Amino acid sequence: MGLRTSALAGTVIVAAVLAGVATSQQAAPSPVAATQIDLPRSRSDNAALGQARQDPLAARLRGVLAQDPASARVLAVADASPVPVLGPADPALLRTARIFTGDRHYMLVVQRGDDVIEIYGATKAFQSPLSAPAGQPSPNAPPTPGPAANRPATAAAAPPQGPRVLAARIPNTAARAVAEAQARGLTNIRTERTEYGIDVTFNRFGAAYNVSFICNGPGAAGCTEPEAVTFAATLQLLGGGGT
Amino acid sequence: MRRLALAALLLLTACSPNGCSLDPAVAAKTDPPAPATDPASAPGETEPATTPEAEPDAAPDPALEPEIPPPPEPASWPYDPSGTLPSGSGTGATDVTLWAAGMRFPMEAGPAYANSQVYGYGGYLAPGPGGQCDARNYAYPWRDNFCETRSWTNGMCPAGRGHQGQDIRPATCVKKVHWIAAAERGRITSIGSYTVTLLGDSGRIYRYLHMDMPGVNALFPTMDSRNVERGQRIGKVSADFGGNATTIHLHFEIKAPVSIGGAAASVNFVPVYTSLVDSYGRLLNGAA
Repeated sequence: MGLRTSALAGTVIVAAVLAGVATSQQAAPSPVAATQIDLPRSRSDNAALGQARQDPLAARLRGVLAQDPASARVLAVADASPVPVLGPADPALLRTARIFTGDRHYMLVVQRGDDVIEIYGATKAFQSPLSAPAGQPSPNAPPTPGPAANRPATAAAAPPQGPRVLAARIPNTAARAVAEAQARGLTNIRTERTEYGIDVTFNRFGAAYNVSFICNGPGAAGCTEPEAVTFAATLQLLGGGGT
Repeated sequence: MRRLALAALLLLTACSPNGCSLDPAVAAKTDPPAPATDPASAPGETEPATTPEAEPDAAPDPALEPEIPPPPEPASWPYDPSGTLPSGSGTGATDVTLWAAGMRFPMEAGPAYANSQVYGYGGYLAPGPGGQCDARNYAYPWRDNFCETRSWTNGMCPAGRGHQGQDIRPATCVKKVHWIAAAERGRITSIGSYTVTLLGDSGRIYRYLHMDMPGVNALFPTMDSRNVERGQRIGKVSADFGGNATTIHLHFEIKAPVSIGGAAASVNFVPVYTSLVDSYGRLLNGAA
């Protein structure tokens, strides 16, 4: 009797363990969701921001805008943004501006004739858990600081399953515009031809920016790479960025 | 021996559907989320045992038992893996990060077919004769076409250039019928001649191309009308391309600030296919 009971108990235990193993088999792991991180502002970023706040051109621009109620509202929203808000230096263009703000990001939209220009900035970023850990430069990351000009896009092997960003090729004709933009404090400048125009991305004051030119297709008048880079380089600090 | 048998039975009843792990850490990972703590219960307090249901006196006749339908299988559909592009159409992105977790699928209803407009039937690099309404375009499996060979710059692509989004055909090859939905709550920041930009509350920029633009403008006649909720209708699938021709489809793309490795964060087009697979699965299973 005792032996039979022991055998029964052993069988039950083995069955239970097997059942557990069988039911614990999960489907293939789901893709890994990106997380959000703050973008730190370095001492030099703070110094550049402080200098931009003292820029007489920006001060004059703010003075002009303050006269117009609609533009004054845009300025008020910009001032409250934790992201340094960049906008075009042309008051006429700024009078068409609409501004949208959210969690550590903003978008300023202006209308230039038939074209739409969207200026986006963020002091946060999405980070893939699949990429190299922070502090270890990704082997395929774009060089920083400095322009991607004259650096051909390469097709080096990517880290398995992780994201990568290749440096974009900027034509020599745009190199001068890039150099001017660098002189104004923009780093990591990249241009991207898109299905609707051109985008320029860059860093300034420790934040990440993107300017989208939504035109009548790529290469349309006013939407070439040099024009886009020059526009980005001449953006003025309208406000924001916190203390 | 009775104790041994009792222990075995206890072990059996303790097994969750996720297994019989005795490791609390594993149990914490595999168990479903715990409900909110009852403030009335002090830590360490045990819940009163629930009264077990009375056992029937006799085994019921199986023939008389009401038939309980098995739980429905989750709806699924065939799709190619992320980054696997059809032969000859380029090299896909190797990144499978879910860049827009929880995103709403950008079409209101299924079925929808993610595949290429250029390399599909009716496209200018089609695999053979056939028009855009060819049934083979309106069939599974889904195919990733982010990074498909195009001239557009794309730093996320192995070639440094390629398609910046994903093409999706609606249920049928008919214009101005199939609704497009907002991927998340946010604001429509611009309506171009064939583009609609949605700035999500998350800070992601969603761009929808080739919609029925007069319809979009009618839906959002004023700036005040452009705040949208997740899943809200924002227009219909069409083929608008600023005066040029394209096929009936939605081009859907996401741009977001991303930080990769130790490099400075930059605003990039992100591979969107993985997020579309995730959101379409939820749509098919009634949890869009």
